[in-house]
Parts: sequence; structure tokens; C-alpha cells
Amino acid sequence: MVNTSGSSSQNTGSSKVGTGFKNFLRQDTQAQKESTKAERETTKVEKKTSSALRKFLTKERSLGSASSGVGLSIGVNPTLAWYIFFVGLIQYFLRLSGVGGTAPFFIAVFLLFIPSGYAVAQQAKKDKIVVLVPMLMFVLWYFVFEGNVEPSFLIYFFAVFGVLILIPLAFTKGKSTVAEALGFVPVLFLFLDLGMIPWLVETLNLTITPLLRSMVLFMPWWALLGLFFLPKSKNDGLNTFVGFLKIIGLLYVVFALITPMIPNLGYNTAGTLVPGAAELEDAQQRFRDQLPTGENPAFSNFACLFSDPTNIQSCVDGRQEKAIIENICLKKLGGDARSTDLSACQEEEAKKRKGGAVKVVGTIDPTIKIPTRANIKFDKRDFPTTSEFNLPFPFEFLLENPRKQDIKVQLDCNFTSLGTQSSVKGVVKGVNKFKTSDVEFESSYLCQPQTKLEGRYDVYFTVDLLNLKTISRLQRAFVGKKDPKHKERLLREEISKVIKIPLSQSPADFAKINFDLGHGRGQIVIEDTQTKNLVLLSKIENAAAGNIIKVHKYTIDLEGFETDDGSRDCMEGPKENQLTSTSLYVRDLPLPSCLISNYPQELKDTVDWIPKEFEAELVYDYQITRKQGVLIKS
Amino acid sequence: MKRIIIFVVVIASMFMLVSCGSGPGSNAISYNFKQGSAGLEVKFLPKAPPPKIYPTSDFKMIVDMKNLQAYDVTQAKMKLVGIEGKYFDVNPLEQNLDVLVGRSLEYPSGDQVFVEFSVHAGELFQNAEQYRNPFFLKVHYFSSMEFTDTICVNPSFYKVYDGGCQQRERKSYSGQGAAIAVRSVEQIVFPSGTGTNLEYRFTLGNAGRGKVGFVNLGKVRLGGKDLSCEFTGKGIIDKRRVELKDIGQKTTLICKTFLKDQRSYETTLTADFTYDYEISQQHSLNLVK
Repeated sequence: MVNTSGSSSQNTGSSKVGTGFKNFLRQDTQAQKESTKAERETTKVEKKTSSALRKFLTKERSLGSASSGVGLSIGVNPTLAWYIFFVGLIQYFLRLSGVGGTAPFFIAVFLLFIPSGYAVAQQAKKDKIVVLVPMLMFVLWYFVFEGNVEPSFLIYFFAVFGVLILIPLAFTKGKSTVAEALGFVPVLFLFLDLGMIPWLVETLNLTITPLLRSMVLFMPWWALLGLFFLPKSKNDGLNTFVGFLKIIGLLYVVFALITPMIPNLGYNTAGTLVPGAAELEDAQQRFRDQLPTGENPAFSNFACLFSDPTNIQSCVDGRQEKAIIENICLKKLGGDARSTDLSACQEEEAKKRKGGAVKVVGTIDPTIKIPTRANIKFDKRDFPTTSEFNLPFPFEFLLENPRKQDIKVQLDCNFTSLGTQSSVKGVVKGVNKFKTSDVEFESSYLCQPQTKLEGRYDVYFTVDLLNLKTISRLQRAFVGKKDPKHKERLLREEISKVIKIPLSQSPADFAKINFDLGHGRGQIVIEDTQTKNLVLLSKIENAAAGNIIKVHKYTIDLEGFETDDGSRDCMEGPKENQLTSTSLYVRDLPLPSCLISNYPQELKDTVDWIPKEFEAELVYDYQITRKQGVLIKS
Repeated sequence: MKRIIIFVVVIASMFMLVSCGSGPGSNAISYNFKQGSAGLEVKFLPKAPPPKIYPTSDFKMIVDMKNLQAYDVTQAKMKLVGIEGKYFDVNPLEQNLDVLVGRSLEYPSGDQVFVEFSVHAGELFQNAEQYRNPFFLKVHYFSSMEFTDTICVNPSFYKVYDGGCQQRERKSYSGQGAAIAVRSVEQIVFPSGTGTNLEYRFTLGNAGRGKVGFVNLGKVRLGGKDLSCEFTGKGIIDKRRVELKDIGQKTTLICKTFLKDQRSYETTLTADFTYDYEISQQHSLNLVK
């Protein structure tokens, strides 16, 4: 306020201004003090928050009492562990039985994956949040971003991922490293369960060994994980039971895995994209479809340990053979076959397998994902139950023909009375003989009995597939003349990395030729030497549930190779009367073997080594039969 | 947090330091190429071969080969081993190459050559989805190596200082700019009546990632005097020739001389060798549907 009444008023005014300014300065200083105070308090709060956050992340949490009422547990919550174990078992059996479609996948992802991460965190006594971070980031990358490995995306993704990982590391001063690494345990089990091993088999051309078979078909991954999570409790009885279960689990793993190990790959396959979940599941399903389902090797090994301890391998082989035969018969007869029919089929199948064929082993070609397949389907509820209207019996025929072969198809049906054993002819109405080269063929048919049926019958649906062709291939390495050390070095450092499968390979068709060429069984190196024999062994294997009804031709392409007796029977045939209908009625049909006395010079003259792939072709007719028991009332 | 920042700064600094000072740069005129270990740099050009090959297509495989040694490469032979002819018809499978000049002041980058292989892809087996053919790219060549160093020769056994130089019993070396290298030289003095027996032990070994075939000794000189030398140890073919079969295998060359003069002096110790070498790399061809 300015006083307008002269100099004294000016002095008063100036003093007032000065006072006001001083007051302003005091206020400013006061404000500064308050601001500083506020800042100090803010810093205190921040420090408290930071300290609280650090404590929150690194705090060792007690787990509280278990809801199962068995007392306090140390480690994983027992309810959670039992949950993972039982749900894991259910999911395993669903997958094993093939029932449930995509249910095993959804159970694995939604009902097992996240709880396992939680359990891992509890087991490691680390905070749950830190363990879940890598799991959630993996889920985002794998399912949302479909496992994108483009460099530009990865830079961006890992930058964000890195910050999220570093934050807990920074706050916990590195203590959460182990917890974050443990977050990948559920990820690993998810991959294993979805089908990582079958995918590796197909992508990396691994030999399908019994070990691999065990690990894919018979390993309940989630249940095993749940089993090992089960904690100790105060109850001694429960502890004993849980301990016993864990020992069984360990023994199961040991017995299932007492088989030759997967061959060492030794080759970097970096550059292949990470497979999606669907791709893994598909690989697993193809793998399962193509494998002969025998008995669980763990059970075989365990049973033989007690029943025949001095000859375990032979006992296991016998049990596996029996299980494979049973599965073949169940496929032939349908799941609800009568026990007498099943026994008869098993006897017949066992006779077939005792053909005395040379044990030449082949394997499924992992690069051929879709073999030629056929199937007869029917629903017995559609069958007539009375003879009143003389109704036909409907069925369907499905053919998968990926190589577009020209296949002749002949359909037939007949009825065998169970009482009188007499046969009643049936006629497949409409087009029952045709030729097709379609990739997929499916059609419905009606089987009309020629006379009225009354009583119990077995109805047989038969499909003859004519002019099928299956080609097998075999890889070998020709090294010429080399000293043993040089040969061993070549085999170890080079040949084994190029030729990884020593057996003949073919698609999982109805029948195939298995053949072996070399100085010994499965030996992939062939030398130019006078001191070792070069032998060709082969057989025709009936690999499906039907019968080979005719072999039109077999050839093993060894152009330029000469036999010691000049005969070509081991390389082409059959000769007249060589393969009769009786001799075809076996699982393994031996072909002539021979000694090779000479082969092309170009395969001998080499400073290094030469890879060579041989093919064997089989042209044949095949018959598939499905049987169903019916009761026709008058 | 502070520790993390310091750690990151240290690592970044190390990267910067390592990336600096490699190669002759602007000081090429004084750079000694006959040091360290060096060999042939061999690689396929990107997309030659292509990552995915389709049936019945034609493509080229082009190898970029550069001589980073300080010595010429002669009689080089490049071949592709392990390719299955039914799927990939390669023409030719083996090629001989001209001399590749080594690095020097006149030619600091070393000779470079591009080698082409024409390939015709066949069909896949039946209805296979793909076929992967691992194979090996091998290069075999002949080259040489020269060892030179100024050393102190002190024939006096009693190590009395005589105003000359100080002898070092053992010296180590990082290499001579080749795929084989003299790793160390040991000097041993034996008094002998009217003079002194001097023995030099050279430790020679494979310095590259390939395989040494044979190593042949040329001349070893101490100043202007030839030394009498022979190889010892494994793989000896004769006194002046050795075969180093295993990677990392070393051999020892022992050279002897007799000196009458007891005074110490500095002089040049030189040795030259010739050898053959093989590089092998694994690659793969992928035939897809």
C-alpha cells in the first residue's frame, strides 16, 4: 500500500515495501523449508517403499497349514502337489487312450502349467511372483506371438523381457536368479508333454529307438512332477506312503529308460524355427499312430525282473511281442471283441510271426509324415437286428493315398454263422470294384446278405487293395581302401553326422521291404577289401493289421553290384512259386540273401568317402478285414 | 544398483578396447603380418546355397576364400564331401585353385577368390516333406612358415655378465602368421672342453582349427650358421619331416651347434618350414517340398 502524502509517506512506503519484500522472502524461505521437508519425507517414503518392496520380493513366506488336514508341510502345499499328481495322471490316460481329443492339451496348458509354476516356487521357497515372470513371458512369446524368432521382434521382446527380469534382480540383489531359472521347469515339462520328442525325431531324423518310444508313449510327465513335489508331513504313515510313491516313480523312470540311449546328434540345427503347440501335438499324434503299441516297457522290465531274472531281455521281448499281437487283433476285431475271437486271432498272429524270417530291421521314414492308409468303419447300431426286412449292413471305406498311387479297390462281405459255421455270401451293393488315385477317398457301402439271416453271425467286411507300391531306402558310406584309424576317424567325425540312420527307412504303409547291405548288421561303412564279406539281407514285413495277398514284384536297386553266384534273386523277384499265398500269410517274409562280390569302381576310388542311397521297391496286393458279431432275430 | 551400473560400464569399455587396435589400420607400413595365428577364411556366400531348395531347381554354391596368412597358399584343392548324388547333382565336386598370395605390405588384405559349384536338385523321396543333407566343405593346401627372432646367445655356462646381452632360457611366441606356429624356443647350454654346445628346442604345433598333415623342415640358422636339426616325439617320418595327426598336437625340433667364442652376443635365429593343411567345415543342404 502506498501512502500518497509526501516524503514521510515515501519513507513509510519504502519501509513497507521492504517489510513486504522481507515477508515475501521469509515466505519463500518458509516455502523452501517446507518443500525441503516434503522432499525429505518423500525420500523417506520412497526408501520405505523400496525397502518394503525388497522385503516383499525376497520374503520367505510360510505356507500355513495344509487344507488336507494332515498337519503342517514344508515345501509345496500338499493339496497342490496331489492335485498336480492326479490331474497329471488323468491327462496322461486321456492322451494314452486317444479319447478326449484336444482335452489333454487344454488340461496341460490351463490346469497343470500354472499350478506347476506355483508349486516350483513353493518347493524352492522363493517368491511366487518371481518364478511366474519367466513363465508368463514364455506363454506370451509362444502362444500369443507364436514363437516368433524374427531378429527385429526378438530385440524388442527381449529388451522388454530383460527389463522385467532385471527389476526383481535389481531389487533382490541377484537373489531371485535361481527362482527365475526355476520358472523354466514347468516350461520344459509342457514342451515334453506336448510332443517335443516326436517333433525332434521328425525334424532331426532321429532313429526311433525303444527309449524314444518309452519316453513318448509311457511317460506321464506332469504326474511325475506332482509326485516329486509331494512334501513331508508330520504324519509318519503318510510320509511312508509318499516316500514309497516317490520310489515307485523313480523306479518307473529307471525301468522305462533302461534301453539304448538316443544317438548323439553332434550337429547344430540352429536356424530351425521353434515349433508351435499344434505342430508338436501333430508330431506326437503321427508318432503314436505309426508306432506298434506294445506293453509299457517299465512294466515289462519290472515283471521280468521277478518272473525270469536270468533272461530279462528275452522275457521283455516276449511280453512286448504279445502286447503288439493283442493290439493288432483288437484293431482287427474292434475294441469289444469276444475273448474267444481275440484268442483265436492272437494264436493266428503268433503263428504268422514265427515265419523264421531273418531279423532284418527297418524303421519308419521320419520325413514322410503321411503314409498310405485305409480303414473300414461301421457302427453296429446301424446294423439290422431282425431278418424281417432283409436289410443291408452299412459300412464305410476310407483311403488315404498321399502319393496318388493308382490303386484298385475291391470290396466284399460275407457272414459266418456261429452255430453251424456255414458261410452266407454277401454282396456289396453298387460300385464295389473301382480304381482311384485320389489323395483322400471315402465312401459308404451296403452289404446285402444273399439269404435271410437268423441267429448269431460274424459279418466280415473285406477290402482288397491292388497294385500298392512301397519304396524303402537305405544309406551307406563307401570309403574305398583306408587304414583302420583313418576309417574310424572318418566315421566318427564325418560319416556319422551325415548318415544318422543305419536301418532301411520307409513310410508307415501296409507292407515294406527291410534290407541291409554291409559288412555286418547295421554297419554303414563299406570298404573296398578282400578280407570282409559284403552281404545283402532283406525281408518283406507286413506292418499293418491285414494280409499281403500277392507280391507282384520286389526289386532292390543295386545297379552295378555283382553277386558271388551271379544270381539276381536277392535283388529282384519273385520267381514263379517263390511266394505262395501260404507263405505270404506271415508277418515277416524272408527274401533270398546273397554275397556281393563286386561293385562299381566309382564307389571304390575315393580319397574321402562317398554317400550312396539305395532303394527297394515292393509292389503288392493287400487285404484288410474287419469283423463284427451280430445277432439277427426272426 | 550402483554395482550393476559399474559392471555394465566396465564391460562396455572392454568391448571398445578390444575392438580398437585390430589390424594394421593407418600403421600398415610398420605392421608385422608374421605374427599371431592365421589361416584361410572359408565361408559360403549368403544364400549360395539357398536356405531352402526346391526339387528339380538349379542353384549355385559359392565359396568365399581369403588368405589371411602371411604366406602364400599353393596347390589348394576344394571339395564337397558327403553330398548324396541322387538328391543334389554337384558339378564339379572338387576344384583345384591357383596360388593365393599371403598378406604383406604390398598386399595387406591377402588374396581372395570365389569358387562356384553348380548344383541341380533332384526329387524328394516319395512324399517326403523335406530332405536334409549334411556335408563337409574341405580345403586342402600347402603353405610355409618362417620363424625369426633376435636372441641373446651366451655360451658361458657360468652366466657371468660380460657387457653383452642377457640370455633368456625360454621364450614364448603367439605365432608367425600361419596355421602352424613355433610356440616356444628353449636355449640350453652344455659346456664342452674348448667351447660350448648349444641346443635349441623349438616347440611347434597346430595353431589353426584344421588339421596339419606333414611338416617339413627347411633351414635353421643362427646368424649365418646352419644348425643341425631333427624332429623328436610322435609322428616322426624322418629327421626333417613329421606328421601332426591330432589337432593340438605338438612336436619338438632340436637343433644343435658348437660355439668356441665365450662372449655373449645378439643374433638372429631363423627357421623355415613347409606344411600341408586341411580345413573342414560342416554345412547342410535342405531340399523342401
